[in-house]
Amino acid sequence: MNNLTKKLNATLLASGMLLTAMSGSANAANNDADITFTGAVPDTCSVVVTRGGVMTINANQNILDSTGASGVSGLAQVATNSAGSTIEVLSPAAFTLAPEDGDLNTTFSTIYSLDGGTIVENVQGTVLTPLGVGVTDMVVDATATKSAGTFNAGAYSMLVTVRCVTP
Amino acid sequence: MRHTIRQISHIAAITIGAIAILCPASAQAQLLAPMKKDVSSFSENFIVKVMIKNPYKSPQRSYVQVYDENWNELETAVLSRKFAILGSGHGLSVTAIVPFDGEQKRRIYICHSIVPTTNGKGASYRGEVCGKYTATRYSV
Repeated sequence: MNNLTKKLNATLLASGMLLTAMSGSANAANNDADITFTGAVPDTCSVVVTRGGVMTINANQNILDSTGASGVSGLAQVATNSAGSTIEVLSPAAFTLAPEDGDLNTTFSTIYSLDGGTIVENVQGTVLTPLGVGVTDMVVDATATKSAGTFNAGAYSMLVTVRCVTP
Repeated sequence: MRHTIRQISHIAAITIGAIAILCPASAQAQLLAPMKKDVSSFSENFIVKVMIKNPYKSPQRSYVQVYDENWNELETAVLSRKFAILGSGHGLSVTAIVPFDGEQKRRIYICHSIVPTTNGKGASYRGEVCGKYTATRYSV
């Protein structure tokens, strides 16, 4: 075999090896593939009442109030994971437990304060407050007021609703 | 540069941990889900299905109510369960069938409330969470 033939064979062999190497590396690159993971976290708002309240009577016997002397505010914790939920406090329409004429000439009102993810102070219960993201501690006070007459002796109980609404 | 098996395992553990933090297996304080949804219907009624859950550490009585867009209680809505006693951390699926009452679109609120009791004593506060749901009626 002459020199030219030897050189040609060597070149062909090298080219073949190069092509094999290139196709091999191309195959290695094509072995990669992407797997897509998806997920969704739904909007949530939770209200957990942590303490009930205690109302005490005033000197004129016509106001039952949790902000009075020896009164105790109600506590709740609100948690949200998105902005835009609102919080409000609904006053009761009547006592759930009261002596006779307990509801007569009586109006109910509430105020609340928020601290944590949202901060407001002494807001009327009927006012909707937008909540920030996160955990917010809530202090709620309730009042029952006689426009005429006084509260008779006995046990009183009323239900105040802390409502969180999605945006 | 090649990663060793140990390095790959470490990276995977961090990634899984991050995903676990971002996507918790259970939302402990969640009381109502989903909290909003758009539904469609071809009939005179539409259906909304929600999951309620008791977040307290003791069994509690849960109440479910449906309100219209003006917050009037919707007497014509039918609920699979209006109230239930749920164990701590337990949930329940509730289905509401609501009529369109002649409207093409309707917005309602479904509220889940609990008046927590401890050792049989009632609290004077009720926690309530309300979701907003919109329904559209389509004609065939």
